[in-house]
Amino acid sequence: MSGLYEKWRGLPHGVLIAASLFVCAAACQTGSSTTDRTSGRTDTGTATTPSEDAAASTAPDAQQFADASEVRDASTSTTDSGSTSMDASVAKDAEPSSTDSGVLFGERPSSPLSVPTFMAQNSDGSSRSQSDLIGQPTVLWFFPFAGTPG
Amino acid sequence: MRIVGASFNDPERNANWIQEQNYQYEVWTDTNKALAIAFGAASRGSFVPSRVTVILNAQGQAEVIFNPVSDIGNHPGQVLEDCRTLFGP
Repeated sequence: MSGLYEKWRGLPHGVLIAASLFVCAAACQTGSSTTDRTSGRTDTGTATTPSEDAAASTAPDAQQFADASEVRDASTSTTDSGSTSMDASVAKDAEPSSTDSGVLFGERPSSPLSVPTFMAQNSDGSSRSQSDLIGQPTVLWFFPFAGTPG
Repeated sequence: MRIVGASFNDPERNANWIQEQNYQYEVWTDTNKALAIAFGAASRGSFVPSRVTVILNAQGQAEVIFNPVSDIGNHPGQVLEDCRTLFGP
């Protein structure tokens, strides 16, 4: 037992939390009916076993946790770490579904908002201005501090 | 699709972070806070901008705003889905 404890102690914190989420979710899903956490939809079908349901429902959780840890610094990043955080599969479990109904996750501005006249500095020291946000669609994400969690 | 991060950090701090994370997109220093103020991420007296994401069309007009970004775990996927809805795959 103490050997197992020592092994767990050596694991990164994120892995332990992800594993805990997996175990808790599996325990909650052992009944004959399952409830979709994100949509509130209750599924009483028998096509899948409870263990299959648990695995299916917890896999996205683990992925979300991994993605969240990837993006915690700037995710803000809309992508703090680039491609890994722009995982479209994450959004498929969330409501509303923009692909099914055309509903957007974000909000439309109540009044037209355009890029103002501004002067910014890229991380390589080069200057950026209004024209650098025109010409193609842009995801512009603001974050408080580089290298801070949450 | 262009992806740009913006904060009030100095460029050196952003550069260090980019290097640490191997981040592949541009991160800007919003020198006079004009960008953050325009899109509701900060006010004139703010020391730092809030976590806000704006999807701009090719004309530089805001199509969608996430203010505040509340669900960090799902946020990147949601932004990507909104981009697909707005601009196509």
